[in-house]
Amino acid sequence: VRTGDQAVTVFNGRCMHLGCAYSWRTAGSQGEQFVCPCHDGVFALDGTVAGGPPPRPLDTLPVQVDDGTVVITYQDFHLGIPEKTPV
Amino acid sequence: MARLIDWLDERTGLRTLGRVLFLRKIPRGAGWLYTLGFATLFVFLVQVATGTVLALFYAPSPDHAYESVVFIQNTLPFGSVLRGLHHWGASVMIVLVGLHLATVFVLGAYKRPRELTWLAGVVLLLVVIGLGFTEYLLPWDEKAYWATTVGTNMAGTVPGIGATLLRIIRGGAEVGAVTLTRFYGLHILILPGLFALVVAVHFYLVVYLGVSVPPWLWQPRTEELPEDEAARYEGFKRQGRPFWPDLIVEDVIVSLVVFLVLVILAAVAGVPLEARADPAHTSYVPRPEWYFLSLFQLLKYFPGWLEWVGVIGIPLVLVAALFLLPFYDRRPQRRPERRPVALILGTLVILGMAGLTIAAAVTTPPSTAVERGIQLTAGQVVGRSLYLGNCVSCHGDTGQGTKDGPSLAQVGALRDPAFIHRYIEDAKALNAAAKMPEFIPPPGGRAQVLTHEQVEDITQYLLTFR
Repeated sequence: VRTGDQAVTVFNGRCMHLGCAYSWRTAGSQGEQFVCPCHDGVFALDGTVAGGPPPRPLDTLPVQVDDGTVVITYQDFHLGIPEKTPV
Repeated sequence: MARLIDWLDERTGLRTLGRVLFLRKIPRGAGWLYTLGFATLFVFLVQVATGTVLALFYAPSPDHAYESVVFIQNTLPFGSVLRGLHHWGASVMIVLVGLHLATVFVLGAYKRPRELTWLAGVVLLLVVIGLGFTEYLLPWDEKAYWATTVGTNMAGTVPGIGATLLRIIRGGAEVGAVTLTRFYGLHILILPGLFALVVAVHFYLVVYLGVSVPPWLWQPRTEELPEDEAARYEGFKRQGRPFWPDLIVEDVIVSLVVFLVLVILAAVAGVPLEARADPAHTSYVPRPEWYFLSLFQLLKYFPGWLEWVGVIGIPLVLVAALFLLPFYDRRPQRRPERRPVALILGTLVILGMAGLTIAAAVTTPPSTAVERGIQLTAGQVVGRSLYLGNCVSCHGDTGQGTKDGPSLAQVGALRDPAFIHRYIEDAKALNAAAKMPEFIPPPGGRAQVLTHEQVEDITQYLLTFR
């Protein structure tokens, strides 16, 4: 998610609930939100929980923007719990 | 023949065994409701037979699992029927176990002296559910990967031991090669072995204690000595019919009907195989098998921090209630109409599970084997997976075409299969101006990109573009 001219926020692609892959909805009743198809978890653009069972906001990943190149340190965290602890 | 049997009898007691197993009397009143246990055992044997053959052709590694299942499905003679029988056998087994349990519950047959038979039966139910869960991952298709990811993550939410439990089940941080071999071992060795062992105990107890007299014939007496009750039971047995050659006929008829249903399901409904597992696929909608839908739906209702209540709390309470049933429900009364509390509670549990299952089913989008309203065959699903891997960058994700490749929107109506197949293999041979790379080299050419079977699967998929 682009947050500025040289700034992005990167979320881990797995739902915080039980690890399904969520996707961005462009239109419809759940438009402009990240929606998980499994147990109806919904996240806002900033990663906060907007509905459903997920126990915490989307995990952000360490990211660095270097002259137009985005460098992400990929990491997984324990799912299904309120705390963000690395696997 | 008679001499051979004499010889064996002298050394093994074969005749005594035969008498005990086959000539035993079944008490008066036992009817068709008493055939469900036999039918369940029969389907288990079908699962052992079909599963053994499948195991001979299956490769338990992420690199080859999917391809070996495609081989079983599309190339092996009778492979799709074999897989169909095993797939539907699992569902039929769950149904039969459920009906068997419900019958025993309603007839109060779990009561003294059959508490241990009931316990063994509940263990068998759990083993069958375990077999159903470990089966998922083996084909290594989309459903395999995603349903197992969710199913194992559920274990991770158990308070305290979740993270350790998850690591043990998966054999690592992610669902991967070790998870597959672990589930394979559970599915073909540990769980069937456990099932055979517990079924032997269950069956021994059925033969030793005899099946219960139907409650409408059996008068419960609170002040009766165990030996008097046993004598009364013997009376019903004397008036009953022998297992061989009378009751076994009913058992075999029910089992044959069940087998017929299985064959029809395998032949008509077939068995789904989705695209190869893709951990990066974000549009896949995972749904479990129908027998897990109630649990799946339940999880939607618990906010994150209470997740464990749905995952482990409620199921554990239900299993414990089922397991300990004969120990807290000890009244000798067995007639269903005189046990309103038990019957109402049992009905509520069934209705709750049915309601959750229906709620899950109506929110489930159509199967991924349906695209543009067309039901894809197993080969076409494989073809779509290959199309998305090899063709999509030039022809677009729905065949609409891009600046690098023409539209394929009408290709199924404009071209015949042989032309499409040849064109994929070597486009320049048919159209000198074609920019499309060849996907099968001439003999001695560069490394092979696609096999003939894979090109044919893509061809079959493209034929749906019309």
